[in-house]
Amino acid sequence: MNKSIKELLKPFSIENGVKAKFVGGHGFSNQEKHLLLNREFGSTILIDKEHYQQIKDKKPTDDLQFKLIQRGFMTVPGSNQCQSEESILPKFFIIDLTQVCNFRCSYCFRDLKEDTKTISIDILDSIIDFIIDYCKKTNQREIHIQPWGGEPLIAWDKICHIQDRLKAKGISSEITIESNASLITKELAAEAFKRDIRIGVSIDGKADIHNLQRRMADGKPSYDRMMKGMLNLREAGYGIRHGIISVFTKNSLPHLEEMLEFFAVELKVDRFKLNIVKESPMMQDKGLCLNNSEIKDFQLRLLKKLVELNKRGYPIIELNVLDKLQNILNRNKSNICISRGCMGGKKMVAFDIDGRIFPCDITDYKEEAIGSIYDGEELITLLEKAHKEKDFFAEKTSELCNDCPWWFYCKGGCTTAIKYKKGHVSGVDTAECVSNRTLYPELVNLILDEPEMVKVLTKNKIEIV
Amino acid sequence: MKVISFTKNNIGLFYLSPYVEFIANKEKTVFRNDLFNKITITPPIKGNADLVIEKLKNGVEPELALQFIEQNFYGDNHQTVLDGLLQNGIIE
Repeated sequence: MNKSIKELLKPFSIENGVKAKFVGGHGFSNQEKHLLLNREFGSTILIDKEHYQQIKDKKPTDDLQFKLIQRGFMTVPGSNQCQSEESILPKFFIIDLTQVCNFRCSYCFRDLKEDTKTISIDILDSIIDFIIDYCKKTNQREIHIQPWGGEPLIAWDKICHIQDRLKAKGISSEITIESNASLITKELAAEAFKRDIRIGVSIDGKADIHNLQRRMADGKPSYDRMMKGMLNLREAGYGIRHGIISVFTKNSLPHLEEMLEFFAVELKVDRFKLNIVKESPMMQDKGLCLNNSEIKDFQLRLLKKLVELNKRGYPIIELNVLDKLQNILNRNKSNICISRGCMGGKKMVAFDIDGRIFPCDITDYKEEAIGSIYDGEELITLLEKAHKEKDFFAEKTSELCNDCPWWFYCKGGCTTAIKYKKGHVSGVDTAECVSNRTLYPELVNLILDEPEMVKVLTKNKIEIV
Repeated sequence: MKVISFTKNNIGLFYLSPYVEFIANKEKTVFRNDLFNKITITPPIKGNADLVIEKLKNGVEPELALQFIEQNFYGDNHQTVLDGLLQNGIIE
């Protein structure tokens, strides 16, 4: 891919009967095509050389003006105002079912003490009832539940209980589990498939890297147990439609291409999620974290390898890359977590095993609780109050944000990552910042130079014509 | 979803905005523009809604836009429907 030229197009006004104002934008250009980006609201428009020049000359035709108005790049009296604020209306609920885990992953951010415990059925029922009450009051019939841990499948009976209790109250729940897969027997896989429960398997790559980072609690390697569980899922009916989640560390960096070959060619998966390891006080080995130049290297190589694999006929995509590509083209917030900055406490909340409520999966940091299901307050009330009072919800910014084209899609990144790293919330999520500054320009290059790849990488969801 | 790369050949056509989601049923069609957070409710679409929306994604001549609405949406006040779709950013 060629590097596109980036320039800042300044605001201007034109008067022909009504006063029209061009609000400015970042322009990215190859020889023939141009992508204009509104950093404040994340909208874009693809135009040819002639129309781009009209904007630079401050003389857009009526047809172009209309398109620019409808994409939020121009305003006229009475025209629509772009919206960037997300309402507070959670639809994604994380329930911390157990702190027990049969693994001891070297990067784990959870506080897995010896006296860990699993949620009681009474407290779980109270949490479910709290969610049901919230759904009724906000008229929601479809929600997402993520049973969490520890290893959530240790509490499999409680996962089934959540689904059954919600269903009995007329609420459809999409249940998603991220598991180490070691407890997935043929019977559990069959039951999960019957219940339409989504399961993502944690795999950190081929056996050597996986076993290095994901040891079982007794110190034994876990790869074979994981593979057996994954095969049980496949045979139960999931096929390749189970999730794959990987944590990417300094250990993984030399093996990135090999890892993607493994996923695409050997495991035949068509999508997976590769999360960069988050620094936290609980992690056993802080040397696993990537520095900024390694993150940049990782993102560039990741996209290059994905494109190469797809060109070779392996239809595989990494979900963070897909999310960012969709963000550019239609602001699709496919990622509940950070498609448009942190959605913690807006679109998602988490419950700990004692019924405390958190904006995200930071249930080991009790000071970040926004309240409890036993407070007698409604969820929205607790969240609105927390947004005013807690640092977690303050705007995250640094000097780099001021002129960053990718501001709308980033907004300082993952709040929890900042909390894990610093112990408090201030500044921005540096890893996400570097990732965005690296990957978004490359995705724009792809859109401009190889638009046909957009259709391939988005699995026909988005086509540039 | 189709993202249009605008040239002199298509800049004058009307398209469904890439920021729009829709739900169509027998009672009504609900369009929501996420960029402006605007909802437009129109009469139901005649026949296969997906095919009608696909036509809109492929571009409609502005001179034929009213005719397009008349042919594909129930109801009487088609000009109001078209105006609503344009004003709320559903069509661009």
